[in-house]
Amino acid sequence: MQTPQNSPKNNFVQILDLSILGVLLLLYAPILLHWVDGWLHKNISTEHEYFSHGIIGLPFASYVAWLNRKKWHRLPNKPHLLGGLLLFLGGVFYLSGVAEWVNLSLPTILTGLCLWFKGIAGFKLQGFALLLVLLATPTAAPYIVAPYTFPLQSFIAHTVGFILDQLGMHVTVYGINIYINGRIVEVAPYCAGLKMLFTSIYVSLILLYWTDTLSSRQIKIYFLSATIIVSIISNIIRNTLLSYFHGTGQEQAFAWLHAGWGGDLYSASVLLLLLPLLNWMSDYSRSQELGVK
Amino acid sequence: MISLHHHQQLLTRIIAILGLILLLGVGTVPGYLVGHWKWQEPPAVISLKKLKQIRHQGLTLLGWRIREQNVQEIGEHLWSVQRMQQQGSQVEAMLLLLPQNGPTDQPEVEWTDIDGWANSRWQNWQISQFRVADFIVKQLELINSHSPYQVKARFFRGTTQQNTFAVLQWYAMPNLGDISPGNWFIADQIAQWQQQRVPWVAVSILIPMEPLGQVEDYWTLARSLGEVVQTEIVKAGF
Repeated sequence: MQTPQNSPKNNFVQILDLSILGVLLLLYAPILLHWVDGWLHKNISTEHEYFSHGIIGLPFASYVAWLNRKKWHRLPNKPHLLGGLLLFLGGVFYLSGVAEWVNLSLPTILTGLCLWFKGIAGFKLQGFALLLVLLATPTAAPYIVAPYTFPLQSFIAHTVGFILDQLGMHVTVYGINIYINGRIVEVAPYCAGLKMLFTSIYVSLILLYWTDTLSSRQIKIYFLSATIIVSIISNIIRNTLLSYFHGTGQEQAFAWLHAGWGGDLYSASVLLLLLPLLNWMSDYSRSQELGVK
Repeated sequence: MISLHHHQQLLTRIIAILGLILLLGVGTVPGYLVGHWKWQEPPAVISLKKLKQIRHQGLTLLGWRIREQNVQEIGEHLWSVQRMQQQGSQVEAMLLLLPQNGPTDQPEVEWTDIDGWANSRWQNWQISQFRVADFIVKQLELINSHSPYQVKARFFRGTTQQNTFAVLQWYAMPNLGDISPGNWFIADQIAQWQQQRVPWVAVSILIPMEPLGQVEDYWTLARSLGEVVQTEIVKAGF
């Protein structure tokens, strides 16, 4: 079935493949630049910032796809009709000019191309890279979810109130508002760590892939659950500090940890914590396995 | 076999590239030429000016006299707060309005902001007898009016240390009223595909009632005031 590598026909296929990549780049360069600009300068919307992990995720997704290139070429060319449908749908999204849908056209068209060229097998091969792209595509998902995070916000507010109360401060909690020394701190959805949760899950997916544990279902579930718990606890601590700073009039410290680089530093430190956690989990499960055998 | 296989390989690629080039020509190249793309910002909200006026001056209602109106910061937004009295009766009510203030402003469950505001204003704000209530609005005065439409609102009793209120809250939109930001989002997305927008105004009506009474006793009054408010917002704001 193999055709000689250097036949003119094969060269033509290669040229076509390269041109497809080129046209894709021309189609999405302005959009990707717009996304990155919004992530760096925080000038599009709060929802857009929820996807800032795409700065690492999109290059990583391309890297993963690139690693798969040999397997990709070896796959038989079996177009799947769903691919054509997705390509058409992606095109319609793209032409709508409505930001939400133009953004969604990227994962739609990429998935469409995988299915169109290599069928289900191609989709499976690039599934992880496609997932990384989809989860980094700015959509209104955080906006849709935000109304339902009230219980989490309320839980965090009450826990913060409890901790500060134990520290001997006079605190009242009403709903998602923490009243402290006549000042109010509101635990908004954003402050409730929804973004941190999104980012943590995204980073742990990358870590799982990187350390090659994505195949072990058990570690995968444990690690993702641990990520969620770490993210919520770290947020309670952060909100406690914020309320403490605000309530005691330390405005500079408050601003630094709230919107300044202190907040980013804090998030980065929590994310770094995930690495030893995963290491420990893999080691532990390996030793368990050896013990059993 | 080989040539057929190759033929198919070429064909799928050629179809894909032609489609993508077509997309590029129609969707992207015009943007490259002028340096601007449609997706960079949503379509304009035409009625923003009228909405700002509501924020500053409040809303005049048929049959109601405004006794006091000012702009207050509630949560992180500026609301119009007006106290009014029904003409020819002693019935009073407070009307709080948050009109959309920019093309990217979106409803964000401002009801929790109202709770916080009431709590710090009167202390110990408690909600009970809550239900989702709906009423029908007929927009007879408008030429391009649709058939009667339903407004879905939050209806409950709010008590504080000093007063008790019957409260009615919803997001007013053209020919629509709903309590969920998600439903506004869907309506606005559909409108954006047609180069239009769905403007919105968050509404909270507080009617003083007998201490610890049954809020349902005030439903008729709340509903008729709700109908007037929705009608006037559509007339004056959208």
